[in-house]
Amino acid sequence: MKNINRRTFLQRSILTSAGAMLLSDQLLNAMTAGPAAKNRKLVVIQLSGGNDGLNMIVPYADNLYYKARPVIAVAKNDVLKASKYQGFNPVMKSFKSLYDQNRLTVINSVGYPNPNRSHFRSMDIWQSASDADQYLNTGWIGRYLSALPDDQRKPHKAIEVDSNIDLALKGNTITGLSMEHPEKLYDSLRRGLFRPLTKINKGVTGNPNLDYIHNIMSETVASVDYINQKTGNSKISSGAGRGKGRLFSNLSIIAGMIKAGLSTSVYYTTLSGFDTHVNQKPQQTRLLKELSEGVGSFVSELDDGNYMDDVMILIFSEFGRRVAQNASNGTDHGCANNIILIGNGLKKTGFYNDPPDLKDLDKGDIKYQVDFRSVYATILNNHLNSNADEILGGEFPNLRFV
Amino acid sequence: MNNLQQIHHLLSRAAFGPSFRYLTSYMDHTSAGLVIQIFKASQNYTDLDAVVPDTSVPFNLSSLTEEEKRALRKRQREQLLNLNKEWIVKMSTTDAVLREKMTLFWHDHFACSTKNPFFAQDLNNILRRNALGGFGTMLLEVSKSPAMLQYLNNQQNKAKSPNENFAREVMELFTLGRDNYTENDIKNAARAFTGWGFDRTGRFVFRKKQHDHGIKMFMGYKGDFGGEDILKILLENRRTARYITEKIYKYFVNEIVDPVFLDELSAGFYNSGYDIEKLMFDIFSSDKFYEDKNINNLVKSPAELIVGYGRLLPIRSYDKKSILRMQRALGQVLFVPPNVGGWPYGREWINSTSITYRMQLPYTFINSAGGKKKNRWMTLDVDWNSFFSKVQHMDSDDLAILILGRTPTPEEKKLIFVSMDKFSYKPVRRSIQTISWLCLPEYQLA
Repeated sequence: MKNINRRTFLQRSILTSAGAMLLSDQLLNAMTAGPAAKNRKLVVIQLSGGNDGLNMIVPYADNLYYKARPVIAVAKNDVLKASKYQGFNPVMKSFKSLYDQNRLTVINSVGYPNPNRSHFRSMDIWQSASDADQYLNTGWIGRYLSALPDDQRKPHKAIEVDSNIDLALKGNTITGLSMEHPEKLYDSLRRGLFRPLTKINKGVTGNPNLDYIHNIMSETVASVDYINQKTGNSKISSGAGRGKGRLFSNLSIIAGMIKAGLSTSVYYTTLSGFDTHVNQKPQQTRLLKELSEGVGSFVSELDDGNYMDDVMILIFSEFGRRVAQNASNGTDHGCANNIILIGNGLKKTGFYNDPPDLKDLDKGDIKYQVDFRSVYATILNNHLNSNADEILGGEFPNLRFV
Repeated sequence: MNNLQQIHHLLSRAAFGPSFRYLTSYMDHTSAGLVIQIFKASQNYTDLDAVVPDTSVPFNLSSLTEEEKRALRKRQREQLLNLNKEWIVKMSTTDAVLREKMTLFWHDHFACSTKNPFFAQDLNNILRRNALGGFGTMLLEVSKSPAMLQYLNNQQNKAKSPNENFAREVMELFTLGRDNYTENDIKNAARAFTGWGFDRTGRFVFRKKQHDHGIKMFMGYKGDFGGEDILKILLENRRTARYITEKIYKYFVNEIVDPVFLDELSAGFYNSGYDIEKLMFDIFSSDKFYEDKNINNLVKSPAELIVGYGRLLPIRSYDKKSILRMQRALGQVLFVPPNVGGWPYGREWINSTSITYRMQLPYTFINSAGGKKKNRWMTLDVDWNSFFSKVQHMDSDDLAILILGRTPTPEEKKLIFVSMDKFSYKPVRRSIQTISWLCLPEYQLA
């Protein structure tokens, strides 16, 4: 590492002059923030249940699409047309406008070899970044955390805004932090034995789950104190829009934390309910609307103050759905799917590759053209400045979107 | 390990920890004697009957006006809430506690959610009746229950347009486990289940005209199979016994499997024709069950935690909204699993958010003793005076072992003493001491 990290800097200062004592924390941060330490952020929005990508990014110029979906296709006239071939679902107005501003990239036909059509397995594959026949108990973001230098390897470097924590954020030695709201988490540690217990529960007991609980307790206290120190003065609201859904308020909370200047580099949140086997249209429309409103409001909040310059949003689902609708006006589990990236630093915006080929299907499902791990690798290397090969345990060709 | 520690271990696994009613008499038993009592006590039980079938609801809801639909949904939510509470009360108060613990296990295994409270109750009663019976009977009854047929879309599974949802999940989640079947097996099994549905009263019907009577190829067998045949083939497969036994092992013995013990149990289960009671008895009466490596190392699910409080403490009355809020805060609402795979497991329950709730919750029980009603939105109404009269002559280390499996360390005792010391009234001091034990990390484990 060319950059002097904070610890070396401190050591050198102490060696050279007592004047280092006068340096404020702020100044220290400013001095150590070289280009590689630039506080880039990734915001992952996970669409759980298997989002039907074909009705989100509609291949409106393809007759095969309309043939396969006589009832549930999005009518050509309704599509928010983007390229000559594809456009957005009519409820996704904010996405269309981000597209028009060259801040959005769609990558079509993302997946992996030998696709698995089980929700759980496929979600595990996406979250752990494994091969289809490989079982990992750590996630790609968890391993990113584990690979951070000592002084940065803290649970709050990756925060999931939810009541549980996903496999994606679990590492071998460290796991991200999950919370519903930073203030709520801080308040809950003020009473009872929680804090004092972390001072006396030291050492390894030999009972793995007990050690795990002790560890989570200590990490929670340390991270909560850090976050509180950063956000203490700024009220983080969960969004003005009541009734706009959980994702909307989760994204507002994330925006608040970004603005408060946390050193967190990955935020993670989920929108679920995409398993539309029956009567798909109203359900998926409601969810896509929630997604569009949430993302739209998130981006405009961060545009105020140019915070978006450091942010990249990744939107994915564990699989797409079958091209043909089923007899219940829904769709069954499919394979490859599109993903969406949003950010100011995108090098290639618009449609990254060709629309899905609806002629050449695998048992009725879209074949993958881009391995999802190439997307991760590109983000890890070029956005988060980390070492993708090490984190993903293999080489995946980098894409050119950032 | 002393006898009391063995009893703690047994109660943690075969029940939801110690019960208030028997707190002072546990030490008169050996764990071997207690096992037999626990199985005997689970022979007598009653169904859940919080919900009566609503015959005013038409089969096709589209005939209702918007206002009628809203009213119906509201009524159903209310009934589901009653059902939820009644089950928590049953688990917390019944002597047939092993049966309830098993019902909770199957409730997760056969994860299902439905807006129809009567269907939800019906499935729950199927699980309870078969909880310690034959797995095959339970599997068949679950597969034919309106709740499951609806949840996994088998009402839409017709010869002309098969829906694979049920066929896939019955193999992946209920019997064989992942990767033990092919996509073709799923397609053929789906065809075999075509025509399985239910009528407006929730009774199972076989709709002949919608059934695919063609020849199916399924796991090496060939024939004009119906749904029952598929289930039979799945039960003949030893992998089913193995899969179920391993899951039970991980919920009742240890997350890390002892392959020799598991093989033994799984073979016994298969050879007994899937006798669940025998399997559970084999586990709880084995010496291996009491090996050190199996002690106090399983993370309690939120339901186990809440019921554990309910059994340990004398509860005056249960407030259904309070109980629901507690389940929500801890991340597990009964009857509403997150997906077909059921709830998280083990340390998946523990993260920064959940551990803070878990450590905070017991403090809300104290207000009812001090008369403060501030925290009533999420609490249990504990009668601390009865608790005190019950335990006042008990050795506090013995009580701690029953609750925690160990005595608190001197450092912990010091911490607890500091928080007790503000009070002089003995029942209050005792309540604070007990609450503090419930907030030690060990209490999160079973």
